[in-house]
Amino acid sequence: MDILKIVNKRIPNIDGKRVVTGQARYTRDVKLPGMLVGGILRSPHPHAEILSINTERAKMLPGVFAIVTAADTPLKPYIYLGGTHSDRLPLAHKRVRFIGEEIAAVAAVDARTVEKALELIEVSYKPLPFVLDPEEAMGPNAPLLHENKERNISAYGSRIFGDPQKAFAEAAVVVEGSYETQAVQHCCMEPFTCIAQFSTDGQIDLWASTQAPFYVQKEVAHVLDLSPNDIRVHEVRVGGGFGGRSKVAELEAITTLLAMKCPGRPVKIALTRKDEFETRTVKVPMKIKLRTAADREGRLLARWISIISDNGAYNHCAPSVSAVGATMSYVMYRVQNVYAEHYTVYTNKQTTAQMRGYGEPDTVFAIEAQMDEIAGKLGMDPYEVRMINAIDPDETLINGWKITSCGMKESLQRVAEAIRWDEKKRAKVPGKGVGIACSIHGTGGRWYPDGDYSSSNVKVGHDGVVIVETGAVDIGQGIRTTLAMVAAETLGVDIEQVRVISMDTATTPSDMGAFASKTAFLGGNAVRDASLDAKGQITKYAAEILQVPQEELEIKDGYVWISAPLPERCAPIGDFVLDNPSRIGRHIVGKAFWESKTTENFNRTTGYGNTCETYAFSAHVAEVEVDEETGHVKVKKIVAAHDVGLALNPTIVEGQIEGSIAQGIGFTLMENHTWDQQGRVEATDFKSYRIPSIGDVPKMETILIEPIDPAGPYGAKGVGEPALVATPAAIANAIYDAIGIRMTSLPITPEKLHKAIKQNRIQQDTTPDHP
Amino acid sequence: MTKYSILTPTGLDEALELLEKHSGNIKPLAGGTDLLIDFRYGKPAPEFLLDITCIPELNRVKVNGDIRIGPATNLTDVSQSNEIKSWYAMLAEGAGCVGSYQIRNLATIGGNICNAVPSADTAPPLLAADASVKMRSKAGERTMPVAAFFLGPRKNALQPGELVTEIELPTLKERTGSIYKRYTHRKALDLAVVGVAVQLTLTPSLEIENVAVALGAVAPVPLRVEAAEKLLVGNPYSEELAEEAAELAKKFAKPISDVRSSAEYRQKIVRVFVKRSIAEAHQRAISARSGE
Ligand SMILES: Cc1cc2nc3c(=O)[nH]c(=O)nc-3n(C[C@H](O)[C@H](O)[C@H](O)COP(=O)(O)OP(=O)(O)OC[C@H]3O[C@@H](n4cnc5c(N)ncnc54)[C@H](O)[C@@H]3O)c2cc1C
Repeated sequence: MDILKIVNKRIPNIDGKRVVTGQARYTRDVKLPGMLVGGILRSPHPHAEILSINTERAKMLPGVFAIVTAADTPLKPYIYLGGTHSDRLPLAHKRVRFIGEEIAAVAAVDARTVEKALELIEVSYKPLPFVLDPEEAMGPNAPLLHENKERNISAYGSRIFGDPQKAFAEAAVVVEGSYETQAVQHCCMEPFTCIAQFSTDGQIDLWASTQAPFYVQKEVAHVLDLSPNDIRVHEVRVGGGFGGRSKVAELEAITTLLAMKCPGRPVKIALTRKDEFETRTVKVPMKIKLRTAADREGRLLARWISIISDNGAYNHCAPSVSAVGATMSYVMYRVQNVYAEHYTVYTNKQTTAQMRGYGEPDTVFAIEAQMDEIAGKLGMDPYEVRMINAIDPDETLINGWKITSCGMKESLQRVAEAIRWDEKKRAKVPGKGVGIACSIHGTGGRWYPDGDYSSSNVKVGHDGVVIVETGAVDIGQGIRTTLAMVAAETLGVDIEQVRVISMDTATTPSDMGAFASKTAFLGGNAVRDASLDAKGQITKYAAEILQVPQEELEIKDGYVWISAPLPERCAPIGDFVLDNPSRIGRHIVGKAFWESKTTENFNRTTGYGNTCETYAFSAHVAEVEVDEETGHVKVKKIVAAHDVGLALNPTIVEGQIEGSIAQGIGFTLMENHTWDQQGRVEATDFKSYRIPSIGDVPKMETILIEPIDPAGPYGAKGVGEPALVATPAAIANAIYDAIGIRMTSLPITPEKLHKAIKQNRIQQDTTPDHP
Repeated sequence: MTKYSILTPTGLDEALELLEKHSGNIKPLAGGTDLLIDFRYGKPAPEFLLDITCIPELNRVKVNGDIRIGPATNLTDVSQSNEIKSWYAMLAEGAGCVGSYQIRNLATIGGNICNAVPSADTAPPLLAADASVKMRSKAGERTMPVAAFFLGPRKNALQPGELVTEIELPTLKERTGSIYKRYTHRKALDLAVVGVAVQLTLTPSLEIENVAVALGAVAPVPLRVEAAEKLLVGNPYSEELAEEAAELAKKFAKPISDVRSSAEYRQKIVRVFVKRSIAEAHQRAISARSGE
């Protein structure tokens, strides 16, 4: 490859100044003339029949412009995963299934009027029995949430590879255990906001804090019986996603519906943090049963996994999150005999859905605990057991995943070196410990049929300004910068020449959105191809004008160069663009649609198929200190090595990893989204729901392993989600190393650990000594 | 949106006059880090807020043998005052762990005690220091021990029209060491699960001459653990003795269970933290003797 000038360099975020000076425009900053305030009436019951809704009194209130209920909708559910999975209406119809479910919405002149109007809406309910625990929900006496969903099972999947029964019977060691993970909030800095405007000509303009504008367009059109292109989702900055803004937030349709009732008056719905905590999606909590078998040398022989995922009251993406979580049991390490099953079960709680890592941090927490236990039983080092079973480049896994580039072993080696693993294992200090864990994560993929693509236009102006149009979304992860770098590198211009227009569904070509750790990979490929197209067009016209063969033309530093006989700088690229006043040149718009070529649609039944074009790997080590008297865990250091392919911008990549480590520490040690016995959310603000502050984040060392990926733009892979997967497992393993106690449920709060330490002591005291 | 007018008196007399004039319709405002949040959470606001931070005499630390702290002194200043740091390390530590830098630059010591939540971080140190609170209204002035000032969660001894005008800390003997330790789940920006202040004075022969053990967040008001104090006084420090005192403190504490912690766990923490605080206060008392 030629020497890179921009890509792989630490270019500052092109949005950085705007964002830190408050000039970047988020949805909350959008102010439109005549804008109304929208508010939502929510269910006070975890489960109830709606007997009647009377909005007459509320409608009479001066200042109220619109009130909508399910009766104003065509009663079509959101698509999400499609088919029988679609079960959620934009507004509750006849029945509510969780506290906080949307029943009606109001648009009025100000917040106070909205509040009053909401109070005036009369709803009569017949409360129904409810169920909050997924295992109970599967039981014979549990109330059913949805028709045709026996035992409240929304989705079930199972798969079998090889002969697990035989392999377990013949194994030298078998370990097994039950594990539990909690619900977690995404904690985006920007609480969800949406603005909708309806014009009498039928056009709808939307501004929303979303990760996936094209999904919003599709879903809103579907549930309201509109044509997708009647809806234009506009470009805004988005203050965080982490999966919580993925696909659609269900409020976009409600806002649109309100706006349609008052043409010309835009409507804004802005959630408070409390709303967000009480009603938006949270990470899927899982109960995991896992069994692992290995031979005498520590080679894995078989795996058996059964997952019960808490779906909440409706389907979002939890069924697919459960499937991906289960997949980890046979792709993390090489294993031939597998039984895997997963249940996604309805409960009367807010919907659970994807969060950074997509079910992987949960199952990896269990898997990596057992890797350590196997090592323990065989008297091996946890590091060694992982090296023996780690994936190699160019390997095909039992589920058909075709690994191309793979830095798994190198990641393991590098983190072990960095923490001085051998030394720390030899010289053990009581209360201190180290733990190690790995991850594998697909980049992009055909998780949705034919959804592994992105597209881009690259326009060049006569002033040399390059405008990259992409459907990809910057949710704070810095993708605008990364894509600008790809364009600048490919076209041969300076980064300052590049502007990025993203996520405007009317002007930018289609992209599924910022999820599946795919934006740099898919968006990058599309932008690279579109830039190549633009470059070809420029050199073609330059060749005509300059009367030299096109092959002898190059673009460098924003100029067209003739390369032979001696390199000679001709003219800035803009001189060959049509809108130049001198009218030389042509109109330049590079275009590209990039789609993965080797991948197969994810088969939810068999689990077989090469879903992703490439896979990213990591290893984390955590070093902890446990205060055995209080149960407090101090994370002293985390070293994270990530195979990211070529790091398009190392600073941004490290930012993703460091942010994930902080989030992973919260997930492992502090964060717990809980409901009381009535199904009410317990912690509704950051005073009670604790996320790590800077003081809780330890020294972090990030190591980038950069094999050039054959399919990635300049060799890059995704990093957004992989970065979170290994952290919880590494910390839990380090706690075991420190005090010999295996924690099997998250979060490992001081109180919980303290209890476990005490119990362990009692057990030790009452276990008779061996004679 | 909550609406109120902010009054900015230039002196204490004017402030007291305004308080009387708008009686029932006015509240003192110091840093606002409790008050304004209450409004945001829906508590009704009075028509007037009386900004006391602009009254110079309420906003300073005076040292003259004893230490007198103006209630409107912000917690950054309290935690960084050299006199407070060297004589009442526990108070500097208590003030220094509140919230974050931004909060401490606004929050005042007077606001912290007037707000009177069980987890207030300056309360155990003030209690252990035998501080007294001076209050004034148009009708006159009175002083009471800080222990009497706290009446319950968010309840204090102030009468309508009264302002806290000074917090007094007595002169200390040599060979005194103190510490404030709080247990939080998160390192910063978190409320105490348990707060412990210990102040300990040694005799020349290194027996414990005087000791105060105060707890926060384990009862409706901050508490002194007299039983533990009695046990310690007259004895030389030993680990066993500290353990025993800590056990008494644990029994004495009457914490509640809430989202942050169970009562049982809080009691355990009381034991661990009282033990550790006594040990560290003792260490500091010894260092104080050798002039460190
Ligand atoms: C993010 C955050 C974190 C926090 N963390 C902590 C923490 O870790 N530990 C902790 O203890 N607290 C914490 N607090 C609470 C708060 O900061 C403290 O209680 C602070 O000391 C209050 O002081 P203030 O000057 O802001 O009081 P204000 O809010 O101005 O006043 C509080 C009350 O006292 C009254 N008042 C104030 N001064 C006087 C006076 N001189 N005479 C009579 N009445 C008076 C007011 O009328 C009001 O009722 C935190 C608050 C926030 C917002």
